[in-house]
Amino acid sequence: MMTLVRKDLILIKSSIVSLSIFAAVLCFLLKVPLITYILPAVLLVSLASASIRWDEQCNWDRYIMSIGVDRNTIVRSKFVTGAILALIGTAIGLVISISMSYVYDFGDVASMVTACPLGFIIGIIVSSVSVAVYYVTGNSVKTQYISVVANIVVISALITLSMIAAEAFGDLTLVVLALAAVAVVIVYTCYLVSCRRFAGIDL
Amino acid sequence: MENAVEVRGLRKSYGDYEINGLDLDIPAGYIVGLIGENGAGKTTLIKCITGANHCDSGIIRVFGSSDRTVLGKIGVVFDECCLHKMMSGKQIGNLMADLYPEWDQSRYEFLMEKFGISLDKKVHELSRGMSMKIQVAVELSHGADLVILDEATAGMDPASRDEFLDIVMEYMQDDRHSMLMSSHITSDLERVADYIVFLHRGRIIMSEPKDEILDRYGVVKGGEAQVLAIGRENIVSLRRESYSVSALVRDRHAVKEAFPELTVDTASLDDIMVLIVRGDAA
Repeated sequence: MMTLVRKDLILIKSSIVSLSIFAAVLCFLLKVPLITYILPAVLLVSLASASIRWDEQCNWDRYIMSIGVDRNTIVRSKFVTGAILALIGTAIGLVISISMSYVYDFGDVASMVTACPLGFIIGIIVSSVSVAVYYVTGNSVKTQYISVVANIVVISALITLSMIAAEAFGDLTLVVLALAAVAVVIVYTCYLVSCRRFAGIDL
Repeated sequence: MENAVEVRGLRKSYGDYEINGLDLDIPAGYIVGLIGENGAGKTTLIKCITGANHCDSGIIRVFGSSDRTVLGKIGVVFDECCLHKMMSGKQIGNLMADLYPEWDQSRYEFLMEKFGISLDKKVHELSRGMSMKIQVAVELSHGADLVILDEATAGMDPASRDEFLDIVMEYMQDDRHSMLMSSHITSDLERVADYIVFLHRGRIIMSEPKDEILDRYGVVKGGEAQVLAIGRENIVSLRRESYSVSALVRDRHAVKEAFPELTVDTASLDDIMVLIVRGDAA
């Protein structure tokens, strides 16, 4: 499975660099701390579902299945790729935040470190939902629209949930933990749906 | 004889097209050539054997097992390159070294050099034939016991095809290796195949040793009355042309003996395919 993940990361490495630069420019222009934590991760995880499209264009899945890689491993590799991209995006978001704190009033580093997992949580959720939508709807024009709508719904629900959690707990760490628990449920559900769907497809 | 692949009662339908109750054996240590017209079901059959397609029903065993998730046992070359266009030959080699437990990097580099492909070139920079060669180089470098080639030589020039067939014969010198080779270039199969399987509209209508097919089958040409005189039981397929009739016969020696006045030619695999696909069953 990690071979498949490495393959994806090799193919998208130049896109990771260009999207990271794009994210940094946007963050510096927008100057909103929350966006700085989340935007790089959300931008990078879009490459996970893009990698599924590229695989489909060259019938890579048909080949890799034919030589003995099972379908669940193929699906799992996409979720792991998304998680790694979310992690990279989170790290980039943290670096951007710290850099911006020298220019703008962005708060102390400790609070940035506490808040930046939000980027990873949102990123991995967006990645999982996008990958699941892709496996359910296939590579069609409507896929990207459905993915955007699904992610808007999920993110809106998460924002609502985090506001409720912030009211209830008060402590940012507890809010992040609550969102992490929700993320685990969402990611696992998306994984199961993707595996089930992919299992029935003729390649 | 042990079989590399056993297919029993395979059924697969796509709307108005179906493979219905197909049985097939690929004996271990031999090359089976698979021929058939476009849409006959060759690629569907191959995808069912490899697990890329689900079967509606039937049993498929590869080396005695229904489990096809053993990495490296099977090598497949489909009719289009399935490797990422942005990867170079070197990156592909590194990827496959990670993927396959028995990857032979030196063998891969040897084949790439033999095919005249630079390891630094990306797949999208290569012609169709060259990109197929990379796939062939990959599949012959990971210790596969069964290699399946689906129109692998399509796009290769005659010299490259000749070289490719030499490599195939060299690969088959190891008795543990088996091959299923689907091709429209029947002259390639006449050269290397041990058995020929003819798939026509989802059914196997011929599955015999190649040498026997080429020795026994023949084409009788002449006037309709002359040709029909040999008896419909001796005719596999009949094709009426403008001024004559061509009949495919199952036993040309017997027909020649019984009707010495008739012209009975040997039948190539091409002749057999054309007469069956475009002719009328007797």
